[in-house]
Amino acid sequence: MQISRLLLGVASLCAFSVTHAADVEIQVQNLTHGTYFTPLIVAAHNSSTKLFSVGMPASMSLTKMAEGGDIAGLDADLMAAGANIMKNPAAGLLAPSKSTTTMLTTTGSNTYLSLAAMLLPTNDGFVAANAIQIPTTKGEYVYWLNAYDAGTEANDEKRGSGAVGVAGFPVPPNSPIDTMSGTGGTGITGLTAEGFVHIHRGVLGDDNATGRKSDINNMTQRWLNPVARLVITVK
Amino acid sequence: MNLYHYALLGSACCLLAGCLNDNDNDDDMMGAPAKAKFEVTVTNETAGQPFSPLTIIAHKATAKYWALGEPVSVGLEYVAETGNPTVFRDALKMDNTVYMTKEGKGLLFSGKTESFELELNQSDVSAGARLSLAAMLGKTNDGLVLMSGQKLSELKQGQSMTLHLLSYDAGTELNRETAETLGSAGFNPVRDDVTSALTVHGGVVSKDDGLTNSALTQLEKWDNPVAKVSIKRL
Repeated sequence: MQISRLLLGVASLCAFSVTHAADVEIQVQNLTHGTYFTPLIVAAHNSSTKLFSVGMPASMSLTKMAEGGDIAGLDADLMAAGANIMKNPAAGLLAPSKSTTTMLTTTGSNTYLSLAAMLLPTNDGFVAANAIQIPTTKGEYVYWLNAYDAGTEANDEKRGSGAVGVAGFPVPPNSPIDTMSGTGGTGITGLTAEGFVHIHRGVLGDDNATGRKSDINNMTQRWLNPVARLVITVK
Repeated sequence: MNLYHYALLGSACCLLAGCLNDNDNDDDMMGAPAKAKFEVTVTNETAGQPFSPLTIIAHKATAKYWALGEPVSVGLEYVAETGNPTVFRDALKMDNTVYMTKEGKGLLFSGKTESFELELNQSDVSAGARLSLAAMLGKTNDGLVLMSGQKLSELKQGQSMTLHLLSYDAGTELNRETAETLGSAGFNPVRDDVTSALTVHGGVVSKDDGLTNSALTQLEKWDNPVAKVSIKRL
C-alpha cells in the first residue's frame, strides 16, 4: 500500500486523480453438506460501512436478505455508500460443496470486503463476511466464514415465506431445497425472534418427512461452522 | 476465523537459540544431505469421537490427496467409512509426491495425545514440503479429521506452531447413524450421500437429539475444531 501510494505520488504529475483501482479475485465455497446459499452479494466498500454488528438488531436490508434471500436492499445501501458491487456470481443458488469465483475492481477508499447470502433451509440464517480489510500485498488469502442468525424471525423451521414478518422459510419451487425438506411440520413453537444478530445455533430438524415439528431434515440439512471458505486473491 | 488455521511462533528465546544453532542449509562434512527434524503432536479434542489410526504425510508442496468440494479417493473413502487406512496408505506408497508417512499406533481416543517424529531432507523442507493428516471420526458414517498441506519451511529450529483441525464429511455415505453403517462395519463402495464431495461435516444428530434409528448418543456429538496439532522443529 505504502509503496503503491508512493509510486502514484511520483506518477501524479501526469495523473488525473489520486484514485486508484485494484483487481481482486473473490472465491466463495459453500462448505456445508446440505444447506444452500441464495444469490450472494459481494462488495468492496469504505471503512465506515458494514452489513451488521453482532449483538445489535439487523437493518431492514439485512432482514430481507436473511429471511428471503432478497439482496436489493443491501445493494441499494452499498450503492449509496459508493461501494463496488458484484451480485449473484453463482447465477442462482450455490449448492453444498460448490464454489463461485468472481472479479471485483475496487476503487478509491473501498478497501473492505463484505458478502452475504441466506442459508436455506433456515428462517433467518445467513453466511457473511463483514468488512474484512482487503490485503494489499499480492497473494492468496483464506478466510473461514460462519453462519449467523439475523434475530428477526422465530426459528419455527416450517415451510413458509421469505417475506419480512411472515413465518417460515421460503422454498424455491423445483429446487433441491424443496425435495430435501419435509412437509407438514407443525412448527417449533414457543419461540420469538431473538432481536439481535448472533452466531447461528444450528437447526434442530427432525426425521419425519411428513410431520412432527420441523420441515428440516435433521440428518442432511445441518451444518457446523465454518459454512464457507472465502479466498481473496490480490493480483 | 483465525481459530482454524493460526500459527503461534515459539518463545523468543527459542527463536534466538534457533538462530544461533541454525545450520539448515549446510551439508555435513561427509556430504550427507542436511536433515530437518519435526515433532508432530496430535490431540483429540472431542468428547466421545475416537480417531482411527492416524496417517501423517510429508509431501511435495503441489501434492493434494483430497480437496474440499471434490469427490474423495477410494483410499480415503475406506478411511472415512471404516477407519482402515490400508488402501489409502498403499496408494501413498506408490505416490512419488510423498516424502514419508507416519502411522498412528491405534485408535486415538478423546482427550488423548499421540506424538510422531519426522526427519526430512532440509532441501525438501526449503522446497516447500507440506504436512497432511487423515483419520476417521470413529463413530460416524463417513466423517474425517484432516489437516491439508501445512507448510513447514517457516519454522526455524526450536519453533513450533499450533493448529486446530475441522471435521469433514467424505460425501460417500449417507449419515444414517445406524449401527450397521457406523464405524469399522461401514464400508460400502456405493456412494449414496446427499452431497458426493468432501465438505465440512454437519455433525451427528444422535438418538438423544431426535434421530430415531441412530446408534449414537449425545456423547458422540462434537463441534469444530476436533483436533489440536502442534508441529515443532527440533
